[in-house]
Amino acid sequence: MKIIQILTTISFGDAVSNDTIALRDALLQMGYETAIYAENIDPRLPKGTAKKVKYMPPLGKDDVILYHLSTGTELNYKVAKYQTKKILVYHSVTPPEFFLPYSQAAAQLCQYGLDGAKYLADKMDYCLADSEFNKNDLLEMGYQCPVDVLPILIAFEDYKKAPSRKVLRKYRTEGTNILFTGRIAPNKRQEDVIAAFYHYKKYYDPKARLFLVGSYAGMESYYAKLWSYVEELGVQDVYFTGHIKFDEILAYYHLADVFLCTSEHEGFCVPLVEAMYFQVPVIAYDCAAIGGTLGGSGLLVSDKDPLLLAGAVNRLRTDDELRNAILENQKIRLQSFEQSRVKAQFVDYLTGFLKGK
Amino acid sequence: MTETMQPIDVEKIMEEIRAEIKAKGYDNTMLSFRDVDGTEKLNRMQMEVKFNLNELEYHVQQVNLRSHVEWYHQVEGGKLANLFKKVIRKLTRFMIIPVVEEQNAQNEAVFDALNQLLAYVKEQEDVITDLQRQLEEEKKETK
Repeated sequence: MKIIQILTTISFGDAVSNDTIALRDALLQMGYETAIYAENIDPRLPKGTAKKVKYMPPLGKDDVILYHLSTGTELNYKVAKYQTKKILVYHSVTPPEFFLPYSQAAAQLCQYGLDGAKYLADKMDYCLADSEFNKNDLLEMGYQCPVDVLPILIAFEDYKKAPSRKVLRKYRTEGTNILFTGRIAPNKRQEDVIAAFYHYKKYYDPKARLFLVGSYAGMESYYAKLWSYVEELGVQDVYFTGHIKFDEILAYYHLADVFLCTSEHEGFCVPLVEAMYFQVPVIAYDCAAIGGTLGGSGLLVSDKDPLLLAGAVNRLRTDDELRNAILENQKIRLQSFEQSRVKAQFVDYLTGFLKGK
Repeated sequence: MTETMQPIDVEKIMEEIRAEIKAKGYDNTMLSFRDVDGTEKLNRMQMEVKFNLNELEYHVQQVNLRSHVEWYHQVEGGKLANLFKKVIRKLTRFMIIPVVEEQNAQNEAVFDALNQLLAYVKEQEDVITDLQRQLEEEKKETK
């Protein structure tokens, strides 16, 4: 029996691709014949990591496909045609409404992804969702097959690499460093982080900096609006890094005093776990999968008032007891995402599914 | 999970912060993001492109990841609509597939060319860094 994984794009360092590779390793450890197939393969990946879908061998009825869905692609429809057991690994698709004012193409792609996910509702035998939020998404789309929650597998060993010294040297000076990582995208609501930072700098720490780490490729008009917002507010020390190297991302986590997330749609939100790993206290707006990923840790707020968020940042900077309690809680929560733990959960789920069939 | 988390009363903390803000008279009026127009900035950004190796690498990666184009997008609808679409698809495939294949070949060529350019830029960067280092060493020696 072969267990193969299919996804539209496997690239270097993104969460879904890392998850796919980690699951492949788990399948190999379980002794299965396995491989990854993708339509687009990042050339920076080690040779042989994945093969093109068109080279996929014929599959028998007992073989299993693990299909990763996170965007709009023709594969969402093609995968239904395979006469095998099919497991959907659902990473969520951003609602297109977020993108409509900024990119018609991005909105269409998301809509295509959601249509594809709905199309597969009665064609899958089992689903694994990254979060309870994603599970509910699937149930709302009409999925009748069993759905379990399996957190995304995160390659923590990569975080042990050396951070960029250049970035550390540049910003390791006086002043609070507030961080948000994630591509510049309207669902992430970076404008709310900027608004909170504006108040924080005005009332609490004039030397504070805000780092918005993430690529803005494809979202230029939203990025331009964010920049205009910063300029019109007249707020200094807001840094949009754009797409940067991994060691530079690590450096920003090392520098950060607070991680502030005001995102309104996340299927899991890996940066929250990254902040936990780097012992950066998290303040996050309770929305989508955020609360589930934090799992009781961090400071989960239900009010997005920027002045209140600025006050919360200040509280974390001045109240050592609270800060330490949050960091301790985050440390405990982090254990839930340990690779060995998630892999063991995956083995349990897969074994249960295969036995049930 | 063996350890248990310390309970944190977030609502209480937020109430305390609200009270503090009120007591200090902090003003929360500010420009709304909705009232901002980014068009001018976008135009400026498009006019003033500066070279950034990270950006180049990212875009070359995107070209690769998006280089393959499918010849049709599945559109779901009712049975009759689907049949109609299927018939149109079958009738036009002889015309569309060669064009898409040509486009895919073109995309692959563009991708190869961009990869070559990226590799060249990186090589040149290394050469320049080495030369700069040598120059600085020589300057130190002559001093």
